[in-house]
Amino acid sequence: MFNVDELKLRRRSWVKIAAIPYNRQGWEFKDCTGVISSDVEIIKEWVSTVESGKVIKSKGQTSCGQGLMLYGEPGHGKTTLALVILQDILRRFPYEAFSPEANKTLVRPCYFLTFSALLDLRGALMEDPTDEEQSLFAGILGESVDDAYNIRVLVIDDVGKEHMSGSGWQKTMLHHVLRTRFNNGLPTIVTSNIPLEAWGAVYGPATESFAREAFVPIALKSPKGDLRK
Amino acid sequence: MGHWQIGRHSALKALKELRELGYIELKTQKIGASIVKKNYLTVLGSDRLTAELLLPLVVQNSNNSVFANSLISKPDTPTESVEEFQTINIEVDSMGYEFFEKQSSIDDDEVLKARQKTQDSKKAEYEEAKAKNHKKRLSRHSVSADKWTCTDVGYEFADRIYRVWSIKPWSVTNSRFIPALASLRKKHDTNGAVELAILDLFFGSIDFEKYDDAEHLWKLFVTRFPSYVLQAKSSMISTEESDEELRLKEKALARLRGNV
Repeated sequence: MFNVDELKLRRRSWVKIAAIPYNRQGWEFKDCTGVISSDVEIIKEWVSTVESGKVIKSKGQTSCGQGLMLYGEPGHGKTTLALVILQDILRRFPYEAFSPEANKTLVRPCYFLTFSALLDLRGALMEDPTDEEQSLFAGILGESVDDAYNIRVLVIDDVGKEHMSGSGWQKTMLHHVLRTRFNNGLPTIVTSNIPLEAWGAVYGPATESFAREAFVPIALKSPKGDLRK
Repeated sequence: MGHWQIGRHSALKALKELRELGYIELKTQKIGASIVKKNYLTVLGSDRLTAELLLPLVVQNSNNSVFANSLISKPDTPTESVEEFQTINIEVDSMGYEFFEKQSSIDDDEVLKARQKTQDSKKAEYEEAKAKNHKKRLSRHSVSADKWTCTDVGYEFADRIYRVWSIKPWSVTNSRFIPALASLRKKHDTNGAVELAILDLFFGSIDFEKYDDAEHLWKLFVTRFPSYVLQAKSSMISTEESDEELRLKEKALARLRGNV
């Protein structure tokens, strides 16, 4: 583990503003003991690719905007790994790896939220949104006019746990957010209890097909079973 | 007063004649949920009955029926002992076939009891037939859940609410529940296994103290159905990676490495 308070001021503020739960702040890959090492290796490879500048806003690259999809049963370390990845990026990445515009200071390079919270945020925008809410949602989509607010790496946790209405609005929102971020060259990390091959049945064939292109799927299955038990 | 024949028509004619003479009067009254018409003996009729019918019976110590035509048509034979008898109200009973069937029953309570008994008997036969029909549906358990029809799922739902609240299963299966379920199945692309998982989620989430009405329960289930579909579908999916998934994962990694 590392001590968040010992980080430099800018990186410390990034960690603080990324909405990382307190109980996972300071976690590193070596703290994830219950996860299969080959899965961690793939994740590290993805992190390295992002660090090398081939993912975030990398024009013409096949890996541009490609994210990670961590799926599996509850308690197998999906959310923990996603939070470790975010903190690894915030703690180690050189400033240039985030592809900032010239002379711009990044406000929120990484962010963590559940899909239900994202839907709530979108719902709040329909009523009387605050500037903060509008700025955050634009940053999530990667469409903020001020590039400093565009979130470079976003974690959407617990996809598949949301309340599904008869209209299918939630499905549309998921596709919209993921597609917009991908088109803007911004990678997303998704954690879900729904395997990628089942996304067609749950979110529709178009979303599954798109997810095949936009994510590296990793089926997490801890040898120790449910790590919470 | 004419000489009466045997038969329904003759009896009706006789009663009409008695009414015209003022010996009986027709009254309409409510018994339970039904309205019936009954003939009652008037004071005049009672006096005439006493004088003409009952007294000679006592005198003759006869066991013959009080309604025997031969006795009614007898000529007046009043005696001095007429005052010794009290006037009684004899109910002639309702008309129609019941008149003949229940001619001996002049007590309202007995009529009601008999009617209630018949109703109870019919209800028991109905419930027995329904239960027998319901048992036939238990054969669904020999088929895998994913092949269950909407009717099978409907019966499963009915069985479960019967186990919890003792609500009669056919109060659900005879309702619009099964057509509603068929509509949901079409809309959300589910099958019996998914719907069974939804049933588990539904019954795992409701407050058993709060609900006890069959219609309320199935309507609640229909309302909540869409919110459980996702969870139910995902709970049925294996997380094991197939060969095809491994191939697609390699392809995604190749894209990440720029090898595509």
